[in-house]
Amino acid sequence: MITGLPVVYGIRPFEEEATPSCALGTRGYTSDGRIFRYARAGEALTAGLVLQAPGEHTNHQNLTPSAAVAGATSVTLTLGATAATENLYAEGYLVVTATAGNGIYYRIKGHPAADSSGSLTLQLSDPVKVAITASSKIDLVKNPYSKVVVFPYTGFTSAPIGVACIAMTSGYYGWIQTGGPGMVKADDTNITVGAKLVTSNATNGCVENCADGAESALPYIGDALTGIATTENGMAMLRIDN
Amino acid sequence: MLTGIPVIYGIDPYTESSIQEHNLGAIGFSGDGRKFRYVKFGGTLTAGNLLQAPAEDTGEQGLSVAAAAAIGAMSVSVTCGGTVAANLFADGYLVVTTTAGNGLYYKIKSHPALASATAASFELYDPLVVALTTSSTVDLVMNPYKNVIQNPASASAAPVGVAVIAGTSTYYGWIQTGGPACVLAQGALTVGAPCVASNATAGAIEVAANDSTEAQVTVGTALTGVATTENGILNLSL
Repeated sequence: MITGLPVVYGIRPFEEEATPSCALGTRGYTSDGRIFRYARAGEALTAGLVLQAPGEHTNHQNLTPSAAVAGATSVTLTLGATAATENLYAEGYLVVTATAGNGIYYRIKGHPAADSSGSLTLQLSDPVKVAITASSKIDLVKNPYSKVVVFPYTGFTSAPIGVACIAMTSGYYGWIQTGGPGMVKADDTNITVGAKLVTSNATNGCVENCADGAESALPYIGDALTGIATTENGMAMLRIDN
Repeated sequence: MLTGIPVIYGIDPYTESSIQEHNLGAIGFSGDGRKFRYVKFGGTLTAGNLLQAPAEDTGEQGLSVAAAAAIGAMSVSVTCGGTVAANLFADGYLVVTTTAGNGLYYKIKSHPALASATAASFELYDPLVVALTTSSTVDLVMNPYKNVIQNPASASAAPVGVAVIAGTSTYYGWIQTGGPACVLAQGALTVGAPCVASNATAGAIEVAANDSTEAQVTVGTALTGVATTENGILNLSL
C-alpha cells in the first residue's frame, strides 16, 4: 500500500481491487483534473449513484474518557450500549466535543474489540495536544471512506462523500468521484440544465433539482451540465469535494 | 503541452496563449493557494465575469448506439443527431444514460465530423467496462473547460469559474475556481453572505437571500460588502 503523499495522479477510476493499494481517502486525479477519493464499498454499489459515508453509531458519541495528558498516544473511554468490533474506527477520528480539549480531533490508529458499555482503549496516530479530563466528552467517527453505502433518500446516517464510477463489489476498494464532470442519476423528476443538484428525497442514490427552500436543506452534490430525463443517468459538475 | 500531472503550482493566471500549453481542466495554484482551471475561451471574456461550460447540445443527447460494443472496446459507433465539426467532443464525454451500461461515462479521444442520422465512431481513452447494446442510449457532452462562455442569465450548462483577465476568443488561459476572487455583483452583496449565480445579469452573482435564490447555483461567500454592479472580493468555491 502507498503510504506517502495522499494524492495520486493519472488514476484509472474504472478498476476495483480486493486488497487496498492506497490509504482510504487518498485523493486521485485523472489527467483532465477530475477528482476522486479512494474508498471501500460497504455493500454492492451501482455506477452513477451517490454514496454516503458509513452510518454513525450514536451510542459511540458523547462518551466519557479517562484523563489523558498532553502527549499521550492513547485514550481510554467507556462505550455506550453498542459493542465495537476490532478496528471499527481505525483510520477514523476521536473527536473531543466538550471540555477539556474540545475542538480538537485525533486520527485513530487502531483498537481492540470492546463489549457494549465496555471500556475501550484507542491508539492515536498523533499525540494528545491538549490534556483530556474525565469531564471531557468524546465522539468516535469512522473513516468516511470506509464501507461507503448508497445514499438513502430518507433517514441519512452520515454525509454524501462521492459517486460510484463503476459497479463495485461489497468489501472491495476503488475510486469514487467527488469533483469535476461526472455521472449522476435523476430520480422521478427531470433534471434541468444548469440546476443546482441535491440528493433526492424520493429515491436512494439519486439526485434532483434544488427547486425550493425545502430542497435547499438537502445535501448539495453539484450542478447539471446537461438536462437529464427522469430515472436516467447524465452528466453533472460534481462539487462534493473540490 | 504538458500531459502528466494535472496540477501546476505557481502559475501566472494573468496570461493567455493562442497555443494550448496544458490539458483542459488542469488544476493550477498561485503561490497564495488560489485555485484555477486551464480552459479554452469560447468567446471574448470580461474579467470578473462568472463563466459557464459550453452550452449543452440537446441534439446530441439520447442517441442510439449504432452497433453493439463489447467490454474492452476502444470505440463506440453512435447514430448522431446533427451536423457537428470533427473533434468538437474530443476530451469530452460519452455518457451512457440508459441500459445497457448506464451509469458509466467515457472520455472521448476523437471523432470524425458528425452528420444528422448518420453513424459515427467515437474513439475512447479507456476501454468499455460494461458492454453496450443497440438498446443503450448515450449523450455527448463537451469538455466543460473547452469553449467556456459568460454565464448566461438562463443557464445552458453549469458555472465553471471566473475570468481573471479579458480573454481573447479561442485563446487558452486560467480561470479561477477557488479562493479570494474578483467577481461582478448584480445587486449589492452583504459581507459574509452566501452568493449564487445571478439569474438576471449575465456573468454576475447575487446574494442567496430567499428560497428562490437559495436554489440557484452556489458560487461562494462575500469577503467584503460589494456595491450594485461593481466588482468585489468573494471567497470562491466552484
